[in-house]
Amino acid sequence: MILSLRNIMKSYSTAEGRLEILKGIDLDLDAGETIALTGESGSGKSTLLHLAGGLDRPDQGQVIVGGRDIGALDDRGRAQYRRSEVGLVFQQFNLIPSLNVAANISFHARLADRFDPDWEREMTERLGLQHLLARYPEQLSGGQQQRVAIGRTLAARPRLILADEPTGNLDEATGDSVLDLMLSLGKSAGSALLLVTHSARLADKLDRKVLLRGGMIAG
Amino acid sequence: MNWIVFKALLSHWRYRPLQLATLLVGVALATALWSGVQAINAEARASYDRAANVLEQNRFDQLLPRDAKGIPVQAYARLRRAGWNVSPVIEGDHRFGQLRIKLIGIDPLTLPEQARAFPVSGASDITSFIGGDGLLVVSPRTVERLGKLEGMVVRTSSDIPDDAAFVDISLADRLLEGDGSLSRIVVARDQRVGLAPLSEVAPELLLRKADETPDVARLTDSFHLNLTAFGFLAFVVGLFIVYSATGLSFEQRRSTFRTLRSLGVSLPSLTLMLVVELMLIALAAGVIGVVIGYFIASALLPGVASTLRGLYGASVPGSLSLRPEWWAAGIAIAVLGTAISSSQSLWRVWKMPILAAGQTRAWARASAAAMRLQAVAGLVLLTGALALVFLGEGLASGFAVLGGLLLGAALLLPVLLSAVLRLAERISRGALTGWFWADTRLQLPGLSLALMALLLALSANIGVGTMVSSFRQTFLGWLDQRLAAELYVTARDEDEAARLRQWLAGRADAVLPIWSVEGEVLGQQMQIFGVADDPTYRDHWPLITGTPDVWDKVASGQGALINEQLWRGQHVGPGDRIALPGRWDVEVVGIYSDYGNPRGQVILGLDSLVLHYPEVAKLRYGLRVAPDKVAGLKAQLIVEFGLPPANIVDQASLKRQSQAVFEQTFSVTGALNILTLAVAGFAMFSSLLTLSGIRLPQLAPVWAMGVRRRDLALLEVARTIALWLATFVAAVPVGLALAWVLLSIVNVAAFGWKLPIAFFPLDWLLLGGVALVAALVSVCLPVWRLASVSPSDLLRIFANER
Repeated sequence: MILSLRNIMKSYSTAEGRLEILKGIDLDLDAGETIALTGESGSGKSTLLHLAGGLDRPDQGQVIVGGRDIGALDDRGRAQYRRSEVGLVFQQFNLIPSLNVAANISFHARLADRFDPDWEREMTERLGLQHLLARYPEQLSGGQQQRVAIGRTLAARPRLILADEPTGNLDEATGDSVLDLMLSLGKSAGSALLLVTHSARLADKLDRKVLLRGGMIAG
Repeated sequence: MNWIVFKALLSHWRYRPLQLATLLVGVALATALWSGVQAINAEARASYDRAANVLEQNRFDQLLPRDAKGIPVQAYARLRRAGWNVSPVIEGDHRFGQLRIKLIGIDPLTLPEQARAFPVSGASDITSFIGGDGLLVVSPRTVERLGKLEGMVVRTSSDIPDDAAFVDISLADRLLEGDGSLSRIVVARDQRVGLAPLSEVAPELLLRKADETPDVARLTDSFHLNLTAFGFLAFVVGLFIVYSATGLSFEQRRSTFRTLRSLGVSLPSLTLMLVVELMLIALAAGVIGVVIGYFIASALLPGVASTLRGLYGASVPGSLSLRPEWWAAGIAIAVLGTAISSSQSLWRVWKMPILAAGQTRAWARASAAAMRLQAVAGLVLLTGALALVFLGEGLASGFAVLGGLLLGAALLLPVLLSAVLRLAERISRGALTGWFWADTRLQLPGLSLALMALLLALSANIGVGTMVSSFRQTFLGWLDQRLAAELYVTARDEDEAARLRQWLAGRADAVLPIWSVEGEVLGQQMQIFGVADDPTYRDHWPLITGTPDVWDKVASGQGALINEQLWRGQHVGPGDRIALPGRWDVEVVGIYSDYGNPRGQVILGLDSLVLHYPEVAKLRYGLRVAPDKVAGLKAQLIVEFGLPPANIVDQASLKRQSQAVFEQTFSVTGALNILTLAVAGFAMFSSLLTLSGIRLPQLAPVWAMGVRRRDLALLEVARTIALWLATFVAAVPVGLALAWVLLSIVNVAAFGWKLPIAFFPLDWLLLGGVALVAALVSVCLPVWRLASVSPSDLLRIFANER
């Protein structure tokens, strides 16, 4: 078991009062497994992903990764977890604008102290980025930027990849090809994947589908 | 203008109060320092005008003596007989107790009405002026300082400058113990036609045309230009803040502009509303700035007044009067400055396509083309400045060199920093270090104006500091040489002087007369000194250059020394002959440095001085005695002659006084330096604060990959220190170049003396420390905001449904 979520509850303060987002989620993800997390807007998909990624803490429940409760770690521990064990891919790409493509791709791997030039070269070629290495994010198309974001995550070879609508900003054909690449490279790297998506078609490509509704797992 | 739309535009500031505060403070600071300096200049100039008009009647032609003897009354009588409408003046300094007053003795019956500084309305006024014990007309402030005068009536007139008094000519002659000789003759404008020319009636007199005098206003021009330059520097730095704040507020409202335009607001209407908004802000900040400027000027004016008194003998009141034109000018400069610094932003709005997307980060990016243009402009300015060093001449050229140097260096700074950061990024090994340098380079366009402002302030500090310290070092060395005598004594009259000489004969190792006359040399009024043939002069006098037998020639009357000001100003040097008053000439055999004196000066052998000017006052002496005997001799002099303490000054006191005058001279410059640095610090603060508002999208991915907020905040501090350090390193050579220009070009043009440059690295370190503290203070709030940013704010960056 790579990720185990136990009775996760999370709420936020809003102008209208306390808003409960997650109301007791239980979910397990095995090593190398891929899960599609689907559901309507506001169902808590992104929140769940953020909790699994150690970006936020649950109000209640446990986020267990490799036998450790991530939610119980302090700021330093969670930063170390994000740095070495998890890879995040976002819809907005969130590349580092000051670094060129090559530096963006190797950034996380170097931080995690897992930089492997051979693996990076292979991955860069499979992502079709070998001619774009000297460019900066603002000089790339959306599809190219997302491929760089995926490359950045996979270059670090994390045990767990968390992807939040990674193809949401791309057209259908580009989105399909990007996801196929991610799945294929993820398998090569031996990473498990938890992917948030609205698209049933994309969800079908993954091992398992989980539907969130009203802050709970509906199926 | 649509009020609803205008309110929508203004609502931006409700959500960004700190940005509004930055904008207001930027305009206010720029206005404050500029208008403060202008107020000081205006006050001083008004004072010079009043003094020139009242004391010297320089709106009239005047007849002056050709030598120090004065004008015989017969010459005046001749002029009157020839039909010339002229009026005599006797003037000189007189002590009333401790107060030294310039007495101007006039004849109210003949003096043109416009030349009088006080109303004389009828026969009774004239009678009281010329009759009785004596009537003094002085300023209200002088009355307070004079106290009660026995046997004299004092009247006040606000048109008379401080420390001056108008009296009847006969009273002036009596008080000044004159022999009836006139100091000058005022020539009225209304004259009968067909008169014999003045040159025929009084050929022995010199005609000075109205407004031709080398008056104090002209002498102090360079000082005021200096102040103006500082005020302008602070103004430019303030405008950087305004440029930065308006630029960001416009970028942040791009989506609002787009929405408003898509809702039917025309481009001219939108632009007009933005102009109105900016002008309202400028007016509000302008008023605040003028008020702050008034306080700055009030705080600095006493220092300026004593500087002007110390350097030029110019009298300026130590308090400021409120002038309506100054208020108007201050607010106008605020509006103008805001208009200039926001014109680019307004132009962008004018050219913005209706469907342009909001791109907050675009504001912080500069295109490579803009950077190239900046580099070219910087190089052109530096080259121009260099060319002027070799080809230019005069004060204006000196200031042009300063401007070109500072602006050129400031423009080149971001280009150089970018290159250095690129290199650092290339050679760094760690992922975080590489990102640090790359990210710093990305921030550069957003910070470049603040860094340029910091460079200007630091360079100005280093440059002016080096100039002042070099001057101080040279000046103190020069004082040691020049004030070689251990004791300086001044007799109250010639009889006392004669007794003094006799008494001192066995008691002092040497008695060195310090005698001088005033006269015109090479068209300028100056002092001509005589020196004894003594080792004190031969060994100590600070000569810049001279013939090998310079002192022998001076002692024998075959040669004269001139000061550096005369040498540089009139282009006369060793080997040239100069005409001296009394129609004789002498060869220049040496040049000596004479700091602090704005005028030319000549030194002759003592015998030669007495021979050509037998009427010279022989009152002042320098005494050489063993240092341990100084106090005893001083006490004996007081007992024996009853001389007041002011007439016996020992070398140490004189040096202390001279040093105090020197330090006072540059206290205003120091204050302006600090204020400019403070404005630059605020520019840095506002830029960092501005950037911190748009940094989150750049920092969130790094945080998500496992770098803590605290570490990111520390990296922000490290970035500020790195940029500060780089700017400081760049400021040192620029500051030294500035010091060289000040010492070798501006000082020569303004004062007539050149100084060797000296380096004071400890002063730079101290300045660097102060600037570092300012930089750290400026980064405190932005870093605290970053360190305490909540994870939910960072998560919002990644949220899909933003």
